[in-house]
Amino acid sequence: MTPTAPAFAEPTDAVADAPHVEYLSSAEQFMLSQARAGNPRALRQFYDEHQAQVRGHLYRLLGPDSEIDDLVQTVFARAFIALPSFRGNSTLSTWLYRITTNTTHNLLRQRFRRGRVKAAFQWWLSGRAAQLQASQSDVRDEAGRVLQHLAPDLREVFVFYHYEGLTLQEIAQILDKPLSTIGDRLTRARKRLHELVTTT
Amino acid sequence: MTQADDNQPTDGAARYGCLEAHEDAELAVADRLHPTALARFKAHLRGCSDCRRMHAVMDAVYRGPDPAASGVGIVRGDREFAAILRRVPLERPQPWPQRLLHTSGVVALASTAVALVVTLVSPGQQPLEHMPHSGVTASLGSPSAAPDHEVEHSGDEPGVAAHQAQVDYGRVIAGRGFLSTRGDGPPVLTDTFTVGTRFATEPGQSLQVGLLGRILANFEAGTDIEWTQAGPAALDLTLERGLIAVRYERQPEDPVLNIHTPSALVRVVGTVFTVEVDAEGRTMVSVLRGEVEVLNPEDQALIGEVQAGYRFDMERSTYTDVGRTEVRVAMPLSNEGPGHGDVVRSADGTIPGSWVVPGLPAAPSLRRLENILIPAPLPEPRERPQVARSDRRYAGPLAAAKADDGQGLIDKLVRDAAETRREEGRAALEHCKSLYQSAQSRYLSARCLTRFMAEHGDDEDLVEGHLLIGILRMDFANDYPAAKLAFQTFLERAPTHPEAELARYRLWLANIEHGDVPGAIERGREYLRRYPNGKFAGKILQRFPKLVSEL
Repeated sequence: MTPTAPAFAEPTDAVADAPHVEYLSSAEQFMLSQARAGNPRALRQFYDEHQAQVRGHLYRLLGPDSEIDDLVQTVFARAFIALPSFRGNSTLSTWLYRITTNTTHNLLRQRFRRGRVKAAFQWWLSGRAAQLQASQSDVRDEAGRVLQHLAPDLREVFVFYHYEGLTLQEIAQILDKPLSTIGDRLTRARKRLHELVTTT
Repeated sequence: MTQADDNQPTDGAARYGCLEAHEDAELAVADRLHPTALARFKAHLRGCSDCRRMHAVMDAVYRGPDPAASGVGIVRGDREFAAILRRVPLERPQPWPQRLLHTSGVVALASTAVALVVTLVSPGQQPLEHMPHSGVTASLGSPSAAPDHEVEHSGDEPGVAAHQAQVDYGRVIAGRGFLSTRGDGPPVLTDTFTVGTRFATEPGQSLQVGLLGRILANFEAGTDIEWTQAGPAALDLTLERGLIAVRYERQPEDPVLNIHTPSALVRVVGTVFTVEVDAEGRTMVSVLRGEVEVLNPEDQALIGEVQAGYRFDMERSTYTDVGRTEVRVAMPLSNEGPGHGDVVRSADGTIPGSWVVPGLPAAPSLRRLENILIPAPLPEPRERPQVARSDRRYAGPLAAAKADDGQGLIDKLVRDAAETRREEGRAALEHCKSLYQSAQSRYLSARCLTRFMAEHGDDEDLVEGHLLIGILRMDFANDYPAAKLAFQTFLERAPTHPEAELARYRLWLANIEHGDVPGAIERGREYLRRYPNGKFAGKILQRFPKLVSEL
């Protein structure tokens, strides 16, 4: 049967390197070798095994958002393209988190800049009364709104640590930052969230 | 602040107000607050609505959104996967010269826009519609500008199975059974059938059929099933009784397979599985690879999802491990086996590695039917109670479907080759022949013959072997590229061979089932030019009536 999957990236030197066995099971190595060759079944298996992780992370990071489905497609399309260059220096989930973060980071920054101006204007316009009125809404929605007020760099670390359950070392690997930076961001994120929750 | 702030400390305890509650909020949510402090924190919350609200929000923030809200169903996932594959070329990073060109194009467009504005506001200039086209704007038609909306709507593109010549027809691959048209219609006497065909197998019989060029189904003895509907979006079978095994190598654009039983609807998006309706009308679904959904036939509500390795009893809503019976029935659908380099992969009787069979070792040499654990005594060979029938469908010599077109040729080839080959070749051929005799083991003969041809393929007397291998690759492995290559090799080496007509017909059929309708039309035209009165001309004209002009 002819696969309908599009042609993938040309093999590079990295392809020849066998992925590190310590991070990948034999089944994952086999699936990866098939997926790199453009085998649709292997690609579908890759998608099936990880789509919930990507979708869940985007949902936790962005909240209910109409663009999540679009972002999931973008993340997997980029992952399929990058498969030949994956050297197995991390687990597949960590590697996918990194792609997801790179895909969403600019979007988060854009939204945060726009949202910050808008929120400040609304605060000035309606004052405390509007906030009190908003407090009648669902607690979960309010928690989501509070999280949106967190700067993107801090939000990413907070979501990875508290929602995804990753360690600081894993987060440092995903974001490609020093461990101390990640720890600092987590502390700042908690402090900022505390301020946001206790002042509203 | 609320009344809680006015609480005066009693019994010597320190004052605990909103400020302290705010400081302890994070520790309380993280369950790291000292029990004494936690008791005071909770006592404060009981009297302070603002802090209760704050605590609820803090708790929600640290708990995060509900993960259950981020799930996706099978069918939706299928569509999304197809969209991802379409998006891959668009997400590929552009080389730097193209990016530079794109950037310069944007700059040039801005310059052009400024020039146009100047033109508009400046009197005495040439009218806008008479302006010559800028050569720069042509460069803006880069691929990066196009595709977004195309991605949105590309889901409406017809799938590979959009042409009725492929969708509406099926073929008998092997075995024996009774085929008739819907209701009390006449029996089907050829190896090709259309939508509305009913299949019945008596005890001791089994039947293998191919649908859509993607689906290979094995009907066990005592099965009664009808092909009720076919279309680009869905293909429906109605199983009244018996046991069937199906392998569906589905691509994202292919239709979803629905199997209706008296008590369930089994929805399949690509997998290897079996469905059984026993004498009491109960439905059992076993999955060896992939996943299927079992739905209520009335309201389409999801009853259960059956993962690979499980057997689902719908009436009892229980899951058990797949057993030897299900694997045995599905084994003729196997097309996986070891293959290296240019050697095609053919089944060798090993249970494929992609099939999930609990308790079966992973080593290929141990993945045999006899090594499947049997938790309970094996049921007796399935002798299903015969349902009293008033019609004549099971009686008389018509109770057998006509054999496959290649049957006569295959027998002849096997006989002729066996006579001319060396003694060891003769023995090997006899082995292949014995495999081919049974519908249950015919799928193994492709591998046997491939090995035989590798050893004796230079013999000019064996050129027909390419045709034989092509037929088997096409029928059992759905490996149409390999089949077409085999047919073409045969036609190149023996263009005037007596069986060249069959080879050209098979080449036409392989193009259809592969979804290459333009190629099939071309092959059909070629056949009709060569054999205007050929024995397959009617079948070609049945699917492509417009080719009658070639006669």
